Amino acid sequence: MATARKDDIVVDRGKWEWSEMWKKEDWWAIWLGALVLIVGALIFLPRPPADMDAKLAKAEATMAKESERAPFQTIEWHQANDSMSGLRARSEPHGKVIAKWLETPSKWKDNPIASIYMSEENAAAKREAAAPKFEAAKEKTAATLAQAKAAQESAAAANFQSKELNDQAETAIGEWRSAKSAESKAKTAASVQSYNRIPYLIGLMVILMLFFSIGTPFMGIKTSGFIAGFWFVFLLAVVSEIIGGQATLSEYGFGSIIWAILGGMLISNTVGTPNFIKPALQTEYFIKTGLVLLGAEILFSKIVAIGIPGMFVAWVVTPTVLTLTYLFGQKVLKMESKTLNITVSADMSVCGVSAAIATAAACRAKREELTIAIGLSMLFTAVMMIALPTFIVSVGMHPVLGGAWIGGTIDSTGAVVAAGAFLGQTGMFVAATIKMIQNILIGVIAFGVAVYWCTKVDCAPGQQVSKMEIWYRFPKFVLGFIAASIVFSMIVNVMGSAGDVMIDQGILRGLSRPLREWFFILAFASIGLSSNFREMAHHFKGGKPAILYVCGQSLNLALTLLAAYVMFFLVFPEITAGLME
Amino acid sequence: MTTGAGASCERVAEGKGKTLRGWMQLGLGVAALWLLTFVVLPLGQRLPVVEPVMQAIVKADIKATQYWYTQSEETAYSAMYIRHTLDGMERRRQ
Repeated sequence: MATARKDDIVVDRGKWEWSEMWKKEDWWAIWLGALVLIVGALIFLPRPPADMDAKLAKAEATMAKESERAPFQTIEWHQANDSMSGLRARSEPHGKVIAKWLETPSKWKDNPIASIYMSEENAAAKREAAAPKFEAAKEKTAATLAQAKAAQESAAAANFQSKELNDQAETAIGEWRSAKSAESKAKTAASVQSYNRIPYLIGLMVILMLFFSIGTPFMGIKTSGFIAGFWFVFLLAVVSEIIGGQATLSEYGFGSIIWAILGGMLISNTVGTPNFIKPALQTEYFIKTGLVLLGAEILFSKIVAIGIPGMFVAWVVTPTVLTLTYLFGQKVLKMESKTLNITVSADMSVCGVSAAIATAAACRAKREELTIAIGLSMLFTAVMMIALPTFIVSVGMHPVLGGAWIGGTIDSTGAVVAAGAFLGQTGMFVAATIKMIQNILIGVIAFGVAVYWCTKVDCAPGQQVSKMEIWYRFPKFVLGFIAASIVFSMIVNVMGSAGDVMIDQGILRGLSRPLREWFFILAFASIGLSSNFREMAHHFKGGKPAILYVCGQSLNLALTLLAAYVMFFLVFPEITAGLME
Repeated sequence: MTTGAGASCERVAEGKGKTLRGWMQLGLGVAALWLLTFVVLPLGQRLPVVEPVMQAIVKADIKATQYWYTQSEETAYSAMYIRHTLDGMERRRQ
């Protein structure tokens, strides 16, 4: 049985009823999430890129041979690595069609129309303007490749025994890689095509409206009311995507989510949210369905990507910081709301927005609490994205250490990559990989928080909770979230390298992820449209959430730096040396 | 004391005033967003501490707004590169 409290949080209590499986949004989130993943599997798995297995085998054999031949990564090694990472199921024609339908509005600088419409005339002008830079970049790549080849041949002639020649070859190869990367970016600018996203956005709105309507009659939501209001929520989502795509805002990391919340709040707290929209404000329904899809993206094979040091930095320091920050909030700051405390602690210590969403849903935090956590995360992420790499470079910190520090402390992936890029290629690679490993942790955190809340927080002091009671109270969508993670992790593991191509770069990045992004933005538009400033101010009383964030982040910075130094320089210095090759 | 009709008129006038105030507040909110986007934040980008990082972001064309690893192309490439690098290192050691 479910009872609704006045703050709109559904609390499970009483006995299990099978009808919950079609009456509650937790289960509908699982069914709809599973539907998306099954459809994705049916689309992508039977259509691998041509000669995928042969290409993967050839690339792996080349990399193995080159690793044995030379003490550094040769030109052939890089070419094989590029060919492997270029293999993507979503780059096949069916993947491109899906991408066209699910694409969010493009980046723009001065004219917002450019995010959804570009005429052929404008596209041609952009191509023409970018062409000279592309030609110059191509020439530079060719020249640096020739130099790299010559340097590598000299090193090979000395049987790779001369340190000086090896170093010269490595430097020349590094220059070629930088030139190639610049050429790739210049090529993107020089191949701009005209587009009109409006018909696709309208089509997507209808698809999503019908998709979410499936569950409404079973959950007691008036379907006609949901449909009547959905277009407005979708429109706000699109407008937020357009605002979040503005170049300056995007460079600071202020993405669409914060604009969906602020935009919605601005409407609801000024002119008021019109009544006809209210049946479509199904925050939990959208967010939980998105979280089930997010579960599929939690691939456990990723945690070994950078070996034991990475696992230690991400999987030992992060839970330690999370626990200590939560305890600090309870014991020192004496925060009234435990759900706000854990949501802010998780978003600060794990991975920002996504961790806040997963944790808030697992402990049933109020929407205003989730909003506060996300707002704090975005604000401090923007500050840290600038301050941390500036400090690292100014003190001359080693890029592997700096990268690990950035990856373990800055909240969102995009900001981590941006800050890492300031340290150079190796720093960025380490930062991005550590962040990815930390992202995977949210599966465990969300599950742990859900269990802890069922067994400890949501009961009277001293009350013993039976196993069945835990089951009644447990947020069931978490089961879908965990199941999706386990199933997809196992499939990727069994498939080996092909798993990256077909699952990660196919079903997940080709269908599930873009849909999940839309589900979350719809959820945040709904949150904004149903929130009020007074309630928010009440939760922010005394600035405790901000104090919690700052204190927790300070601890995070200290512990992550210490752990990264110990693991990458004292315990596994050979890994650091290898990464610098 | 006001009559019933008078009170009703006052409520209508009050409602209209409230609506107008609401629209004005919405307009102010939009204006504040415009100011932030096109004046305050671009000025911030010129600060000596901020500028170098912003230039690196623009040069590398990084989307700093991504909040999850599968949204980032750089993450996929980085992880694969590091995995292959460590594999190669292991092979050389053997």
